[in-house]
Amino acid sequence: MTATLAELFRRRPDPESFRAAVRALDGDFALGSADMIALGEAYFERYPDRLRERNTAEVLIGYAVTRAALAEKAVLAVPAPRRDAYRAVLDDVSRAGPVVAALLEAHGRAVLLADQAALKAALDGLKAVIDDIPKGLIKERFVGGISNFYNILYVLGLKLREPLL
Amino acid sequence: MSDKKKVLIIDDDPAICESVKAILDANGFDASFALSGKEGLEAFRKTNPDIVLCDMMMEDIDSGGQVTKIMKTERPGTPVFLLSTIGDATAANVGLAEYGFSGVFQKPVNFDLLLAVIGRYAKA
Repeated sequence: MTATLAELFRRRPDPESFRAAVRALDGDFALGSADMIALGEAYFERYPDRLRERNTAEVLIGYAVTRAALAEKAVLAVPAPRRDAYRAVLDDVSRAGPVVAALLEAHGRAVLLADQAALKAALDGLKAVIDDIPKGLIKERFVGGISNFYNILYVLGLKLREPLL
Repeated sequence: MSDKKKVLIIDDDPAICESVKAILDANGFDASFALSGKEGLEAFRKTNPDIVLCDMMMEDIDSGGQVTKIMKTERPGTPVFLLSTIGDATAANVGLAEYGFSGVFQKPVNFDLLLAVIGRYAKA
């Protein structure tokens, strides 16, 4: 394990390069509550929030930063050959239909149901860590970040329940 | 003309809007979204939704509450639910009733519960 995510964030000029750097670690980084707080502090150093006329673009960068980290930990729960498919869905819910169709054809429903359960368990573990973060804006960004993944997991479940054509 | 109930989602996070819309559409609702309190109010007036799901922190930290107050003044019968990233205990202390919210769903949202609740409102 090398740099912390907070260190990586401080070295990167934009969220996309941060995400690429996190992706390159392939899940080999620490993401306990102290790591989440440190990453949040690094983010708020660069993008301080305020009560009125908030900068929405900067708020969304916050969610993107948390999702970059959370997604890499979540996809570790599924076998490596299928991780890119799930990364794509976690990045864009509109990919859920095509990805599920392709994975169903290649692996069958039982495998996908097992993947879904594994992803759910991974998200539950990450959510428990987020719950340990003291109330405040760092926690808000992580809750916002992981919430979308739960929504997408629900959509995956809906797709899996659709009858086969 | 569609008999699907219209749900307006107001949240500044497009990813959340897209995923919530996908779930609602798949469950027989006609969902649309707006990405700020200001846009949400415009959409509310234009589309006349049956149910509104609204985030709190958008362009201002209490945008959701302020917009909800206006929506409830203009159309008191339309249920507006808060989608909240703040804890249940905190949510209870931010004046949900004062703003006029019909209820609160904590993020990550339990969609089995949300669908059951808004389903009851949709039938009312």
